[in-house]
Order: sequence, then C-alpha cells, then structure tokens
Amino acid sequence: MLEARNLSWCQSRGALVAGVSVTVSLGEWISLVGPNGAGKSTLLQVLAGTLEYPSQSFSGSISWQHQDWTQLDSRVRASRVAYLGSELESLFPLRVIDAVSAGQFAVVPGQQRPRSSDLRFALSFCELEGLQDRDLATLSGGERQRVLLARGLVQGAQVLFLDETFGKMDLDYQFELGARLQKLTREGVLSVVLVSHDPSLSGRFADRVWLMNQGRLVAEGQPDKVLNEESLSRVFPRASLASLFKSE
Amino acid sequence: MILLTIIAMGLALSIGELPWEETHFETLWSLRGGRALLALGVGGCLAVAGVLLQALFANPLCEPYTLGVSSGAALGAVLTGALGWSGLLEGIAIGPLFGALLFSVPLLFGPQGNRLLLMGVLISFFGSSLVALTLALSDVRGVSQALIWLLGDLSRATSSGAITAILFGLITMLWVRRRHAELDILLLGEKQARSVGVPIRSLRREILITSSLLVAVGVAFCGMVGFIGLVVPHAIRKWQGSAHKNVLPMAWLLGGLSLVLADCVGRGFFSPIEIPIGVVTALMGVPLYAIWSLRSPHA
Repeated sequence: MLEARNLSWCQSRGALVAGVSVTVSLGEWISLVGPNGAGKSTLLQVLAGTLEYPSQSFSGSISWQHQDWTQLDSRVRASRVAYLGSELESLFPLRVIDAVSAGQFAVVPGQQRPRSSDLRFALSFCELEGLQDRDLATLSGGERQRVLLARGLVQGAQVLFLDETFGKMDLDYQFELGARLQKLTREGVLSVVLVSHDPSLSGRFADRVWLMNQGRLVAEGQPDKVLNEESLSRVFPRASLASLFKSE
Repeated sequence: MILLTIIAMGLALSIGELPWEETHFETLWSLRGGRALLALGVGGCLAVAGVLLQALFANPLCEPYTLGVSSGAALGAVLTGALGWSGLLEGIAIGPLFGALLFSVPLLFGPQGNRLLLMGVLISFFGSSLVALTLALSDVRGVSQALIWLLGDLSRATSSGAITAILFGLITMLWVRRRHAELDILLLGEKQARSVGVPIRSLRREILITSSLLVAVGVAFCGMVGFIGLVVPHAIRKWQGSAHKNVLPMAWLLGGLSLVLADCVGRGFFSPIEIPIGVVTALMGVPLYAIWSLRSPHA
C-alpha cells in the first residue's frame, strides 16, 4: 500500500535516514525498533509527509498504491497516513473534543472512510467520553496521549504511525488500546507502525519488525527472526535484551 | 456586544468640553465622530492581527508588534518627522505606512516557526535602534510630532479615513475567517497541524501578509497603540472558547470597542489635557487583565 524505495533524509550534519526501502500493507502491525537517534521518528515523518516535500533533504521515492505520494495534497495524505507523536498540548483554552475533531480536517469529501473515523467511535475507543468537555491543559500526559490517538482515528487514516504515543499511558491502557488496534488490523481496516521503548509492547502485537540503526534498516522480518540475541546485540550492545521482547 | 459598541460610540461623542444639550449633533459629529470611528476601525485591525499571529505561532505572547512590522512604522514616522515632512493623506501617515510594509517583506521569505518569531524580534530591535539613531541626529522640534505619534494619536482622524480603516479591517477579517478551521488547529502547534494535513506554507504566508497589512494600516492611522492586540484575543478566547469562526469577528468588535472606550478615558479623565491613547490602553489593560488571568489555568 505505502511503499518507499531508497529513502534518504539528509541534514548538514549527515543523513538521518539513509537508503531505507520499506513497505506497509493494509492490516499489518509493524514494530519499529532501534536505539536513540537511529532515525525512527525521522523515517516515519518523512513517510507520512509531515516534513515538507519537496525539499533538498529528501531523496528516494514513496508511492501509495502506485501514485507518487509526494505529489498528493497534504490533506489527502493525512487522510491515509496519520503520524502521531507523544505530545499534544496547547497554550490556549481547548477542549478535548476540539482536539479530537481537529482530525476531521483530513477528511476528504467523497472518499470512503473506515468506521474508526467516526467521532463517537474514536472517543469511546479511547475511553474519552467522560473527558470530552475538559480543557486539554487539565489532563495528565497519558490522558492527552489518548486524545492524540482518538484524533488519529478521526483522521480516517488507514495507516497509523504511533511514535511513542503510548509512552505515558497507564499499563492497562497501553495493552488494552494496543489490543483494540490489533483487532482493527486483523479486520483489515488499519495498519499500525509502532515505535516504543517498551520491549513487551513492541514484541506483543507485531506481525513484522523493522530494526533501525544509524539511519539504516539493519534487519526486517517476523518478530522471532529480528528480535533475537544476534541482531539485537548489534544494535543494543550494552545489555542482553532478546528475552524482554518475547511475545506470548 | 454590538449594542455595547453603539453605547460606547454615543459616549465618545458626548465626552468633552461641549455637552450634548447645547450643541447640534452635526457639530459634535464633526468634532468627535471621525475620531471615534477611527478608534473603532484601528482597534479592530489590531485585535484581529493579534488573533492571527497568536494562532500562527501557537504562542499566547505574540501580538501585532512582535514581528517588528511596527518598528518599521516607527522608523518611517521619525524619519519623515526629522525631514520636516508630515506626509498625511486622509489621516494616514505615509511614512509609517511605508516603513511598516518595508519591514514586513523579510518575514515572507524568512525561516519557520520559532526562528521566524526570533527574526521578527530582531527586526524589531534593529528598527528601534534606527529610530534612536534618527532621534539622536535630528533636531528636537521636528521629532516631537513623531514622538506623540509613537504613543498613539487619534487627533488627525478624518471620517472618510476612519471608514476606510473600519472597512479594511472588517473585510480582511471576514476574508481570513474562511480559514477558521486551519487557525483552530494551529493552536495545537505546527507539528500537529501538519499531521492532520494543514498546508502550513501557504497558510503561514497568508497570515503574515494579512496581519502585516492590518498592523501597517493600524499604526499608519494612529501610531502605536499597544495592548489591544495582545489582550483582546485572550479575553475573547477565555470568554467564548477558541473557535476562530467566532473569535475573529468578536475580537474585531471588542478591539474597536476597547479603543473607543480608551479614547473616552484619555480625553475625559484629565480634561482638557489629553492622554496619549497608547498610555491609556496599557494603564487600564494591564491591571484588568492581570486580575482576570490569575483565575485561569491559561496565560
């Protein structure tokens, strides 16, 4: 569905992403694993198009169902791929419902939309019904991340890039929302690419794993083929981590 | 609020040396009408510019003068003052108008986000230093007029110029209001706005051009009236919520209303001495806003 070939993103200090080729198909869950500064966030933002195209920093090609992704309107892109970071805040008075419905900007008239883009569905999915009239500034970090996820659903995107979006949530929310998203991927309406520093979360839901280091994709494939001692120790040399990634 | 504005206009006409009963409406109107209308128009321009810039930078500290456009206007004022040329056209000071437009050009080709904000502040310092340089090099009399202007001065108002200011503010506000959804999203920050597909580049350009024009017109008519552009947007957001669909027209109205009232105070309080209107807005606005803002979680 979303396919990148030989993607690079360079800055004056060097390449943040160097020659990465990846694909995301509908209905799969990909965990993106790698050390700090490996280029995970940059890769996802370049793929999603939230860093500006055209740009001298950019090289390679990205396509969406054989269309040139970089030529599409930013609103159309946002209705297909949603990049969600870890923070959602405002210095102005904004209610939860305002922040969630911001996702509707991406809604393109006439385009078929998954039911997850329904405002009420998204609020109940993220268990925000009781909070919808609260001011964003009065919520905790984990609650705001749930608001962010709800906004991503409302965008109606078929691909969700979750860049540490679960980082501050309570553990039971992390796993319950993860399981609900996994259900949507199994139904074939959604794909997820998750960046998380929590190995149990990364290992648990993944159909595939991308392992990145120093801007490059160093390993890619099924979880047990990538998240093993041999490849992990090349990227994280300080400790033995493979047992932490075990999924049930 | 429209009703309040009409009452304020009546008040503006009746405050002064001549009381209502003894004079004809026409006389009062010719003396004070243009002035009150100008306050209404300029206040609206400044408040709308404040709303736009705060949204663009997702920063509640932004105001119409943050980006240095006004320091260009100040420079234009003291330069024309120093050269002994008043350069008035229907109450518009030509020097400040050109200064403001000139200083807004680099912003359109500048960097993004907070770096743009920083550049605006630098331009502002640069302009102020040039103003100080001009003042140091020129003789006092020529510049005194410019100094009065720097504090805000409605005394050169004409009715037709004032109506131009009102219409310009109103039309610009209504035009930029069609992008209210994008402006709402900008309050969550540029990164979030990009993520939902807001075309930041074109929106930024539009907001910068619009707000620079509003500020240029505002300061060219009546000098540097501070505070309206900072506080009125906050007051409206706190009162009505942050939806720009409502915030823009309400801010336009409340900005005008506040400036009309401030002018009444400026003329009436120490009558017959007139206090510069920029002094009134800040002296009244700061305490009012400080008291109000202490009761809220936001800036």
